[in-house]
Amino acid sequence: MKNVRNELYKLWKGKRLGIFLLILVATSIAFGMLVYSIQVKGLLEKEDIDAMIGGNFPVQVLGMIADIVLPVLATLFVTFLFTDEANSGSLKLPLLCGQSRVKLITAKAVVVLIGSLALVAVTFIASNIVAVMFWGSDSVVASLFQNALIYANTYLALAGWSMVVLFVSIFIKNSGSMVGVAVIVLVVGCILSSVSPKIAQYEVMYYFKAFVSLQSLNYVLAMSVCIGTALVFFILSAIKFRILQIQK
Amino acid sequence: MSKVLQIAGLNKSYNGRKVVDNISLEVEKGDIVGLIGPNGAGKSTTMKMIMNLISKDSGEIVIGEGKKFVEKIGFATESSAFYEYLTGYDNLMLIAKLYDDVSAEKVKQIVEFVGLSEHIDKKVKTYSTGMRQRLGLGRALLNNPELLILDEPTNGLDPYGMKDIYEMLEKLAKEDDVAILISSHLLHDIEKICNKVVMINEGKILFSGDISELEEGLEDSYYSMYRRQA
Repeated sequence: MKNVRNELYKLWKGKRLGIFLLILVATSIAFGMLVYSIQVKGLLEKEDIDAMIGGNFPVQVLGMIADIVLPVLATLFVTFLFTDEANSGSLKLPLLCGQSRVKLITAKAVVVLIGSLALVAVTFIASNIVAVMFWGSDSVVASLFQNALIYANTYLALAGWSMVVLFVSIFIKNSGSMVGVAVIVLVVGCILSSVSPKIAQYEVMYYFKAFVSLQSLNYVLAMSVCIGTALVFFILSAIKFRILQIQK
Repeated sequence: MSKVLQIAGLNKSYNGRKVVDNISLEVEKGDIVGLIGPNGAGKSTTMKMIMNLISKDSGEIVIGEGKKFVEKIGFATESSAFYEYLTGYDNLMLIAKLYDDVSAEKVKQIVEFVGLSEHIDKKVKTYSTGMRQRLGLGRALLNNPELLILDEPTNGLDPYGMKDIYEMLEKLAKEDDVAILISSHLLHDIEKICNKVVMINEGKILFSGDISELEEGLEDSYYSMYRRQA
């Protein structure tokens, strides 16, 4: 718990979390204004508009950010808490106090997951508030539970991705390279999801948008892939970190 | 005098090259032991193995008698790493919270001891080299260590800064019986405060013993080389 508290404190004081949350809130507001103006000006067909407004708006916002923005922000949490500290030499500080390596990597993983949860939760709240402001509460409330489920499932995919990034960050010593690698992998994942969904459904990136698009999913497979990926890559991270030679 | 640190037959190689070759040393309470050698001699590697940051190939490291590791050692590296976006106080408190019995009051005492009271609420990224070294020393002292391991703590400091650091260390050794293992590549600095010295080069011990015996115990060429630094 001490380590988790410290890592959370650093994430907050480092301003990453606050800035990312503000970005997501601003995105929700800006997108809401855009959709509302499109609706008012009648720039799209009615059924296209209806798919974007009211209770559908929060899912549209999620669909916009789920496959690139959220995973990149989660990657930035990992680079801040791990890669940057490994480079600056501050990664070892808790270890010099007698904290075990497993406890430290677990604390960092937990805080990355908490940070990612905050991103998803704030987007959910902000998009619902924006939807109520522009289109009233009736359809928003009616869709609240279903939308919450979609957001929650998307978070599980994000959690799996975060643990993959954590594992990779033990090997890649440069934050910029980490983000670059993450973006390339995300783009490849998007292409794979479009070209071959049958294969893509076994990798976690497929589920960033799979829940959002409301297509019929094999939920057992989806949960297995998301949670399994998170567990496997966390365990691999802990094993690798235990034997890592910390030169800096 | 009780031994706080015992190292026996420590070895470490990287890619077939031996960087630490059969290093053995002991540090007792109240000792200030200088670990001296040129850059690349194996000083930092030895210290990192003591701190379990890197694994040893072979050898034994015994710290204290029967107590947990965490209660024994304070460690400061030559370029002390901090959370730059936090204040000096926050940096110390984050570490203090990882110990069971280090209060905010204790942190304030440490801040005063290392002479950072005026700057402790500023972000570390604004600190000078001397201030960073003081903060690093302060962090190493948080848990009342019985053994202080300092890897070139005066690196980058001006003579006044060095003098301050050495005075603090002498006070700790004499008044609090803290055992200190301090590394440097400058013999004339080590001579001022150490009672024992271990001189290494290319991973091997050239001399180990009392500082007063250094001139007799060391091969002329090495002694001359270090004497010329003075």
